[in-house]
Amino acid sequence: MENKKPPALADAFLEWYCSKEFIDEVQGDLHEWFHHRAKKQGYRKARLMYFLDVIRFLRSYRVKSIDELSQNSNHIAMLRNYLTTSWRSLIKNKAFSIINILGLAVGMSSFLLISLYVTHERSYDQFHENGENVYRLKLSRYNDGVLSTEWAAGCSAIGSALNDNFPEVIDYVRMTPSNAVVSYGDKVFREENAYYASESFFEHFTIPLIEGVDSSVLVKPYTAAISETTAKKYFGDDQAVGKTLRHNGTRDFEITGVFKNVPTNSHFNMDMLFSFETFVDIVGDDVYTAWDWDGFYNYIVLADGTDPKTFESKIPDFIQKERGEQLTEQNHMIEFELQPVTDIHLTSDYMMEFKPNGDGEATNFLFIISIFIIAIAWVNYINLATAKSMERSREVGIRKVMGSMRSQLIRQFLVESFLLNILALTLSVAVVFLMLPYFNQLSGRELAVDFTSLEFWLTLGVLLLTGAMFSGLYPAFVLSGFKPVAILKGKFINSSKGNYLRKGLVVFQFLASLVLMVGTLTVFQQLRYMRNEDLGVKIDQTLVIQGPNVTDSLYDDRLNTFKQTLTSFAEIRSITASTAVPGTQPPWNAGGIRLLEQDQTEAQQYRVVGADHDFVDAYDLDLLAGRKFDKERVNDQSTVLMNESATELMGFESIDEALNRDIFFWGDTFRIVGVLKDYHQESLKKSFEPLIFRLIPNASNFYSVSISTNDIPYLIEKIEDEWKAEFPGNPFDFFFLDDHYDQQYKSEIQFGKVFGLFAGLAIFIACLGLFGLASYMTAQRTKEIGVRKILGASLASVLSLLSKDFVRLILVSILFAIPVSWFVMDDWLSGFANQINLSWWIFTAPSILILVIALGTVALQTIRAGISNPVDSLRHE
Amino acid sequence: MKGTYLGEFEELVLLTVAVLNGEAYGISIAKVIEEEAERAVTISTIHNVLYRLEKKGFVKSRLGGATAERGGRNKRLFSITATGHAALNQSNKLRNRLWNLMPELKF
Repeated sequence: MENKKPPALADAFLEWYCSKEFIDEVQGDLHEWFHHRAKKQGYRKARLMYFLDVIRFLRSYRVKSIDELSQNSNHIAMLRNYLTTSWRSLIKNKAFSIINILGLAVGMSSFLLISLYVTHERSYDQFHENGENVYRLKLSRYNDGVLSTEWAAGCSAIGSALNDNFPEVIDYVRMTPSNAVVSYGDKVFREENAYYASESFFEHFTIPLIEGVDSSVLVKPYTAAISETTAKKYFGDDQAVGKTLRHNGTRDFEITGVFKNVPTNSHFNMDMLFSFETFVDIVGDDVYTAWDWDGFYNYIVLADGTDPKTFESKIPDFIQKERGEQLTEQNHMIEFELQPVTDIHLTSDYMMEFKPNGDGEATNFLFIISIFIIAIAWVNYINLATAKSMERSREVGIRKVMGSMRSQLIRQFLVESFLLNILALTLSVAVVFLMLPYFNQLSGRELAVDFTSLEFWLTLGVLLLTGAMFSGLYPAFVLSGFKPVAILKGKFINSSKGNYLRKGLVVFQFLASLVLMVGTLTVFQQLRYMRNEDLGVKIDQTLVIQGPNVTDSLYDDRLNTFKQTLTSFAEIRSITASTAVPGTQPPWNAGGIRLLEQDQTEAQQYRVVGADHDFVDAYDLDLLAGRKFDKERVNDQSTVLMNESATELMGFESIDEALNRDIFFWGDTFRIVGVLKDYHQESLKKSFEPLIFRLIPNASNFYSVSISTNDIPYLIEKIEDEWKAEFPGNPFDFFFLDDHYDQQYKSEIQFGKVFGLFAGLAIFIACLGLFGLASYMTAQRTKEIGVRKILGASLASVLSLLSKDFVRLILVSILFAIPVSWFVMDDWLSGFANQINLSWWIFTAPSILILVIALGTVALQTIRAGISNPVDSLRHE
Repeated sequence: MKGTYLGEFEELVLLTVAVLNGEAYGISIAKVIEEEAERAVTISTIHNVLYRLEKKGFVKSRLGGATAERGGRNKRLFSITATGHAALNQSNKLRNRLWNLMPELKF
């Protein structure tokens, strides 16, 4: 039978929200309308429409006011009551509340700071509108089946070749760095972030042009687009488009566009882009199809809905078809991988990255730490709340006798935990706001709190909700579960279950703190080891001048004069010109190198350093066999030096075997005249790389000046004068080699500091909890202590009695923490080619420290109880 | 003046209130509009318009006339005020004036 009444559910909802003032006319009209409609369209339809109408009537002026609500229902009134009693209980137990709020606030601040950091790290390159379809092609090269090099910037041909042969590739962007000194009139700057880029750059990367048109800015040869800041640097407030910049003193570029500065959360950073056609014009159009010429960033744009994995799996066959013959001939293999542009920052660390990328693993690690810290803070609340249960039990008993339901008590305790969490959250937002500048310094990022973002408030909301529920639910259930009769009779037995939980939680807190401490210690030990280890190369007291880009035909003479003048200074030990300096991977990578008599299938890739005669001495490198480059010998330009790793790669059994052998290097023959001991060209994170040293007396990339003076500014001034005299038109840019070398450890240092900070905070929170727990336990046993003292117990025995339980807990956490931290840190260390051993004291020192801190915390409470006069504690019953 | 301005639907409802002469409430108005203007209406819209008109002083209301079909709930019965009548009149005059000004158009 058809239901001829309006739906009851909708009616109930209407009655619930609608104010008394309106309910008559609204419900009456709706009922009448329902019957009217039912006659016309049938009951089913009418019932459905009724729901809609009820919702349509939901307007603010019809909704009941708070007062009207609390008249009709108990809930609002009760909520008021809960808030009042919660507030009273917070005020009554000031010390407990402060410990709780402080602990929670510290935990929440840590969590918020870290999530800001993590969000930032994950936000890289999200601003590209078509970002999900843009992929960079990473190139791996294998020689003889063994992986030899992995490139962020691979060979030149691949991007366009894929674009030509696969319909799913819509377009490609090709880029290559341009080391440039750029001038406009008398303004001369070295541009580190300058690249040649193909014309569709602005089409696929969302970097808006302020002036110029996407499709035409980089089309013609000798045109350039520059960033806003760069434009300001050269032209002030004048219009940049149409002006001409001079590149390395020889080529003129017309500016056709100005683009907005590239956001910092991008994997690349460019101040200046030259049209790729210019590069082609300079080097010839072979570059379009060069498969063996690396150093080109290739981005491809896939059609909407193309599965990158499927597409990626088609590349090997294509390579085989296109290049198979040549590759087999050389016993070489190339492999391409699609890197989603949004993933590059956290996953990519290969040769020629635009800038040092982030570390995805460390970021995840940090995120886990933040969860640990907040968990420790929540655990504090659970612990203290349940520990306090005896005190609250009377309140619960009375409430129950007066007729409180269990659900009401649960609600009351939940409200209490909400209140506490809200207070802590407010405090922590303030803390985050104040601490952000310091945290930015520590993390090397520019983080900001965006109060307008939904995400931020959502995080806060989730934090509050989870926190209040997670920490409040258990105590609420425990506290509300007491039997009133038993309590009021005075029989209160602490449940053993609750005890176990409490102990378990304390163990967890200290376990987490300990792991963090061991972690911090390991990171810093590893850092100390890496920075103090003998590098095999002299990097202190060395000033490196960036070589001149603007040169003329007299360059060799100028360089010689410059070197001679500088060596004549008493403060200067030596000066050497080279194409690479320690602290960075040598940018010159050469493949196809083999012994003259070897087949080309045995060729390998080496990193090549071009250097003058003084390089070995200036850098204090150890010569193991043979000789150095010799100024007296005219033919030395066809000789090379090698390091040990290179001789190994070439297949020599011993160092001496390598001497006087001829190698084939890009069509020429070179004789090996000396072997150098392996030294750390790059940080100790990496193992030794095979290096070949070519004699290039007029190398112009770096001049390394070894100095010994106390007045460095004066010396620099003197050098600069000489520089200006010999190399006019070139900016004088220099750096200290030890600083430069240390840059490689920047991320580890940051990681260590951040780790240390949060380890400290975790311990702080855990100790706060312990402090609260100890003070409570001691208070519980005041009478017992009094009796014991009367019977003759000494202070020491009272102390040991009270601390015994805690010490046992901490010992248990130490027992668990050692294997956990060993496992984690061993894994972390495995990322380093040169690593420290995890010696026993890395575990024992923090364990002892934590034991001492914990005992101190407990003692603070127990000593007071121990020395108090037993009469006081026993007098009042 | 914004306060006395009559929207198209407002005017329609106000006219209906005048037509129903004291018997006007949500449903009766809705029925008239449905039949005369042949347009679909939602009750909540009519209520909202009525409150707005009441606020402007064009109609006044009282409670009464509960029936069984309404679940014993009272109606809010609306009747037009002098100001409301004047507003209708004014808008009607304006229309007529403009209508008269219109040149003879052939379609």
